[in-house]
Amino acid sequence: MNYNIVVTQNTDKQSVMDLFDYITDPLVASDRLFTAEIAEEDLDKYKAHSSISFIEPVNNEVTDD
Amino acid sequence: MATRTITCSRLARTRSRAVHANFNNKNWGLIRHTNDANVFTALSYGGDSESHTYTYDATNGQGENVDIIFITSKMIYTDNAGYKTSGSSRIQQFDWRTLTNSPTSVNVDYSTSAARSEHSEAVVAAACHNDYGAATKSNIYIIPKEQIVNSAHYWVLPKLFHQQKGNSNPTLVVNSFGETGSLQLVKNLTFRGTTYNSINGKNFPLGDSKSPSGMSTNLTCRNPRPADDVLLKEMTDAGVIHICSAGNSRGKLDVPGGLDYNNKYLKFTTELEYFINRPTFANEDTITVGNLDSWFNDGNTEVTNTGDLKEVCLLNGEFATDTSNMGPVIDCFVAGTGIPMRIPDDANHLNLLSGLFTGTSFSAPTLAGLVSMVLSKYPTTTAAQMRKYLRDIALSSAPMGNPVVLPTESDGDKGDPEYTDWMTSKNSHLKITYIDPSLSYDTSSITDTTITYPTETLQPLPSSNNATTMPTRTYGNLFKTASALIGTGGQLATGEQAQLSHFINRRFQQAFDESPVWPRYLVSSEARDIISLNISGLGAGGASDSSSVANGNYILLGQDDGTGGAVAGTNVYYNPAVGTRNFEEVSNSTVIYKRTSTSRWEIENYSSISIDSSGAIAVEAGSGDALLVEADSPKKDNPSEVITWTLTTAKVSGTPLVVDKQLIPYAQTSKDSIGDFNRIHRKQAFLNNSSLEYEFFVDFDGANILNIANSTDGKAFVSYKKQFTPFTVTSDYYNSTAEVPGEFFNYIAHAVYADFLRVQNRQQEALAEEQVAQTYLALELEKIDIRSNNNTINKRFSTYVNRQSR
Repeated sequence: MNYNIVVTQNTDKQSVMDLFDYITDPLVASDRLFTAEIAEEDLDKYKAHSSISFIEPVNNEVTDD
Repeated sequence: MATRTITCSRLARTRSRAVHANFNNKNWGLIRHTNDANVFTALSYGGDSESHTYTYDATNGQGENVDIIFITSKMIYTDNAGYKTSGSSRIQQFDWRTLTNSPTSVNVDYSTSAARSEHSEAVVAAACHNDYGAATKSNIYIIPKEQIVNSAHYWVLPKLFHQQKGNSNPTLVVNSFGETGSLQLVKNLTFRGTTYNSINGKNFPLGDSKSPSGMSTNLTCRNPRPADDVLLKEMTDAGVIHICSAGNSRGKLDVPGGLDYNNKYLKFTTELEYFINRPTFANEDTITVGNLDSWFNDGNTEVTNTGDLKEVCLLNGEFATDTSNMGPVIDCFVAGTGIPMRIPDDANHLNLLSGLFTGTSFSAPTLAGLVSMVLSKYPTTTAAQMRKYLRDIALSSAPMGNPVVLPTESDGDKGDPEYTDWMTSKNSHLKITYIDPSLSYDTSSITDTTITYPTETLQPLPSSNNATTMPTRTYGNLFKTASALIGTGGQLATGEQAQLSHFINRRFQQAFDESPVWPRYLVSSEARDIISLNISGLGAGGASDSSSVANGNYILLGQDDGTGGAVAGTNVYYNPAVGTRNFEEVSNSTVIYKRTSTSRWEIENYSSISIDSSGAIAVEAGSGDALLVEADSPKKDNPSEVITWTLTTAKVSGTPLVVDKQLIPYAQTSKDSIGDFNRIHRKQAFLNNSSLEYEFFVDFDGANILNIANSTDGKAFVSYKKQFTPFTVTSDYYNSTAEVPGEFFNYIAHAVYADFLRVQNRQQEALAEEQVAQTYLALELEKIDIRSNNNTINKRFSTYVNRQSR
């Protein structure tokens, strides 16, 4: 499953990306966010990482107002 | 300065929807938001047009040299003449792939055969169309979501564009969408720190459910998107201005630290938690736009030409549309209701669709068009400066009329229904945008971009809010609510507080007088003594003065049993104002009886009457001091027939007047004083059996019964309204715990606000506010009807105040 991974402020994003095996969108233009595929069993481990601010599933669903 | 004429309409006493729209009209928001006040007048019908002059800065007033990026659901018709200037389209067919580090590989299809949507067409038109928007010279860029589907790219692409475009044009991003959550399949809901497994005593339904009112207004809500917020922050930090629609879920969008920021629900199906009072895009520099209703209150309270969709506006002045999200996140309220536009059909651009567009989707671009004018003149304005400008500076002086309700502690799983009710402010920054078309305010010079949100304090639940009594609020709460409506931002000045207290008492009495059957003040069929005799005309005696115990009203206690020295079967009267009475005797009272030994009527002070367990009564003849004795011969049957009395001159003097009465006075010891008599029955009414009802008239002394069934009756059963007692608070008003009837609370608060407006000679606003107050009162009166008080307790009467059974 694809997740948005947000690194903590002032953290080297590349160093965090190196922790992941399957980067699905490096989003080079962003200093803090990239997308990776994470196995269910690894999710808690990454969430607990001190350089990761938060992880949430990729969600492109929006509704017009 | 330059001008153009815009023909448009706005709805006042009459409320119209699409069927009545005039599609030749244009966007009324351009007129409203370039004028401080509402310049529209009451319209006889919704579709009627008014011609207004739209004024703009001749140099920058059309958004020159501003790049506006619309993130739309689909493409729009790119050859639309409405976006052309001197034959050239302002729609820039930009290839987003060409940006360095562009995350997208999508070659956007701008052709006239690309998939289009009405929503997208209307959003862009409200900002940039030559007929409908303010930004008629801005450059238009499109990111169609259907083609670029990754939401992360919505914010990265504008940032890169702004950084790489090679000119100093300001960049403005507009998005009219959010993520919508659904409060269905709810396992539990956490509201203000407490988790509930039920709603108002019922389990959360598993499927389609009713809205959990009291905790949330609607079945849908915004879902926050923290990852998008990080990208949004990078975008606005790069200098891009972001304008976002607030959404149409009728909910509250709260800020961190707000009372409702952490409200959330747990879904049965996914076991995931969702926050229900947060915006989807919560970047601190995002400008969030609520929907200003086209409908407004022009102060008139009647619709003379009634018909479909014509009704008196319930709220004061201008207000947010009922569907708009509210809350402190909303920075400004902009026209987004009933905007007529003709847009190309999404299948065939040659066909123009006439639509009346409503939603925050259209508030956001209407604002964006106006903001482009400001950016055109002050292009170095930052996102934070622009937000500060729109939130705290570019404001109409006209107030918004959405009811301000203070939050209360959650009453179990009932939530806070008044606070979350229809169209309440929910702690919104209730401000209408006004951008001075001269653009004289330099937004780039703003140094303090701090945003201060209005604070909220939970009000305690009324102490008597339980099953046995009616809900009450405190006087302090009333004072705070009225002050909030007046808009002091704190406490009123001392003199104004005293003035407000007088207004409150006046309105309290008005509300009290509106119905004789307010449940709080209603007493049903209470036993009351009948005054049968009245003595007057006596004065002081030669040695002492017993006139005060002799003059007065006398109650017929019954007929003597003849065992104590009174004639058996004759009436015995006593003065209830003198002495005491309990279940077995009347003691030390003034008594009128017919004495056996003399066969004359005698009036004695300090006399006693015994009452045995069977109810038989016996005067202890001669036990008291004689004041008057009958001198007539032959003797009379009733004391009122006696012509001559012999007085004990040491105690009393003068000529007594003894008259029959069938009077129920207003006051009786140990009972509530009667304010208004409703009905009088011979026996206890409204219980099980029917009872003879008396006719009566009311005078200064009380109710005089006309058709009493038996002149020996000593009691009747009265249904009445208690006497009015005004508030007596004279200091420390804001902390007073004096109880205010809950049913009068909102009426009094809004009515005294109307009084304040009147004092300030703001007559139109006062009229509108008065109407709001009357609406609250009408709702409470309606409850009386529903409870049938009007049809049972009160059916004898039809007055101008209680009107009629509805």
